[in-house]
Amino acid sequence: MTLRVGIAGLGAPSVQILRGFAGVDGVALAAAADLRQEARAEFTRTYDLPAFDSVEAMARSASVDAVWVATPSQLHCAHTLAAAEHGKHVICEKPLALSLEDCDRMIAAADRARVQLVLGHSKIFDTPIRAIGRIVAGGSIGAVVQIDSWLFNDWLQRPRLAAELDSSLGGGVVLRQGPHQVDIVRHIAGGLGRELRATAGCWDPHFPTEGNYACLLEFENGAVANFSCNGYGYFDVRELTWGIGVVGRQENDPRSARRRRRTGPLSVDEKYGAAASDSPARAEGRGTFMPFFGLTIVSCERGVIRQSPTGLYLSTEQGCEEIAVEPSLGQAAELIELRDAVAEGRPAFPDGRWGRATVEVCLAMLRSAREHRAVPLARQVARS
Amino acid sequence: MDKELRIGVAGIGSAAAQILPSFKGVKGVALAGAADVRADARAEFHKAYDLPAFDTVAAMCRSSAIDAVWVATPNTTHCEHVLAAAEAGKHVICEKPMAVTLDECDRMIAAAARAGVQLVQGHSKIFDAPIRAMREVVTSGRIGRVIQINSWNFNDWLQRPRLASEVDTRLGGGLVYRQGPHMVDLVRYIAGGMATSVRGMAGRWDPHFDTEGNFSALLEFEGGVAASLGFNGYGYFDVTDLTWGIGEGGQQRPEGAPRKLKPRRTGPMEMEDKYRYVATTAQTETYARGSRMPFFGLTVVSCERGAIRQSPDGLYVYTEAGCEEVPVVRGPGRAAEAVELRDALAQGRTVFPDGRWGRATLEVCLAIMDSSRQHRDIPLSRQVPSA
Repeated sequence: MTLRVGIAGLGAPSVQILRGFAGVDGVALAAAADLRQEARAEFTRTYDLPAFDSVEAMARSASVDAVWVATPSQLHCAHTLAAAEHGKHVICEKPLALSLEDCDRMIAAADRARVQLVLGHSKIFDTPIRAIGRIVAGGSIGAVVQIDSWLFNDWLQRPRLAAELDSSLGGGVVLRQGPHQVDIVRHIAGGLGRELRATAGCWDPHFPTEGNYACLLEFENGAVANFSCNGYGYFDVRELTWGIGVVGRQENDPRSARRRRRTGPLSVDEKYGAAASDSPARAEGRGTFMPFFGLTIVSCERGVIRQSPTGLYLSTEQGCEEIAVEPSLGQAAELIELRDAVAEGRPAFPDGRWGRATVEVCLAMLRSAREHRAVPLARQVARS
Repeated sequence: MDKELRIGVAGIGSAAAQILPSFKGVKGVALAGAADVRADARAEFHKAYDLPAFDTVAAMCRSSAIDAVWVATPNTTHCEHVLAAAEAGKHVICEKPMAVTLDECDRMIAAAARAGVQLVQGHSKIFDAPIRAMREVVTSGRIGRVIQINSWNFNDWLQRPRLASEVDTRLGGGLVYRQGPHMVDLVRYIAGGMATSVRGMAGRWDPHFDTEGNFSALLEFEGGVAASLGFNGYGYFDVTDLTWGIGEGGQQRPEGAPRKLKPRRTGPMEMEDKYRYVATTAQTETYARGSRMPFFGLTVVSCERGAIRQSPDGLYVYTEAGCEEVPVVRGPGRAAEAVELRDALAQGRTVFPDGRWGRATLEVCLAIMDSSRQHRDIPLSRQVPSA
């Protein structure tokens, strides 16, 4: 039976999501929902599929089996609840929600309805991250002792709506880029964070939201993750990763890349209108290299792992070995995971509980930064 | 001061191997003697320089042919030797870490103040020209205040030839005591010095060396500024893979040349073996001065309106106008401390970095280890600003 998926929200995340359907057996794009009439018309014209004016209406539709929630972060909870209450499986973009209470309600609703709740857009789906996780779990180079991860990008200089720049609505780099980095380090370290200390800064005069952070996250198993982000757009970490970025495309000379500085958020029209130079339709397709979400170096007892352009470098006492990694599937990976979990009658991974644990870390980072103290963690779950 | 500053080096070990040759050609400074407990080291020194070699630091301090003592003895004896020098009225350059405890630092600082002599924190990465240049960009204000500093180092510190004392934390050994001061010095210097708290994790994961081989730390500074430090000294990955193959002394590995694979060490060395090694290979491999800028790991300095990091021959300064490469003039290498002492004396000012600076950096290093043991934030109270 084909799993019919409806997309809630035709904004920026939907571009990669829609691309993911091509070539995945057993899954079909079935519908979309968006508030914007032009976005619906464009979707129907492109795919010849129904477009709903509300997520609720799409969730009621008998021609949809699962809803991919790609609406703004502050709506993830309401839309996940709507989908689950109509018996639909859910893939929800990161961050799962903006409060642990909302995460609780989403997880409870999915449990009650016996539907799957997949954490979408997690870097855990990136094949090199999975491959690192496998080596660590395999124990061939001992336990993971320290993970260092840097992200320097232009997050704050990309076209942003006001909500994306309002921390109380889930904006800023801690809530928007943090979940990616936290997912990566939690996955590699096994998942069970114990306590963290973080700092965060709001230094762009035009955008009063977090543009940088640094975090030291201790795990139950004694590992530590030391990760940080600067999203102001001056230095680009791709200089350290062969020019390769999040979708595996290679920029020849990231050092010379220029962008004009923005002085404020865009309106919906400016961001998504046909004339917008950054419109989703113009977003980059996947490249031929591994996806790099910054630079992560994983120190284990008897070796170190980091990504190479097409796989991993594993450095041990025998020297440095390059390990090939299967190509990343982009956002087809969530579809495959949902399809297989449903077929095999097992819980999907990463699920709502994993997503909640990552939200817990991000919220704790904000709190630690605000209160200048360490924050203990209580809702962590292990990597499955 | 028209008179030359005559320097005696206390301890003819691996630090001295860098220090001794550095005076050549430096105006106003002269090597004048050395002290070591090992007779063969003294004989070797005497043969090479035709200068007196003393069998104790105290004896060298009493000599009227010496104006300043460069303390390059093991960490546990820094305090004793600085005290001996200061009490004899000699200026002092003391290798990092200043000492093993803050108490010792207090006594060293008090002794220098009492004697009216200078106390220079030696072997600080603050003397590296690119670190100075980064601080200059920051203080110029052209890209605003520092907001975050990220510094990484991955090297083989724990796999270099080590005496038992160098890998015994109680004696000031291990990665945090021995390499921590370098990284802490450079981030404190660039950030302005005034750290307020430390959260750290230090690991002891090498089965053959029961001392710290890795650490992570988050330093908070006044005004919400942060420094994130990551260090792994187990020798599997080398940070020069991220810095154009350029290492601590500015030496560059030829492009594409793999690092030499060496068998893992299973324990500390005897003194004779270590110094034979020091005399032959160590200096050329790790500290040899190359033709590029010195890189102690990879540091990215984020400011309000830009970012800075080292380029092979200077700095990259990133602003909204793009990336500009700023050339940096090479510093005097390991002679920098002697030059600073010479100039401070001539100008009648206090040296920088001084004993208070060194104590503040040691406070941070100790806090990293305390935080790791106690799993809590450690507030700092002995910090001083960058000069």
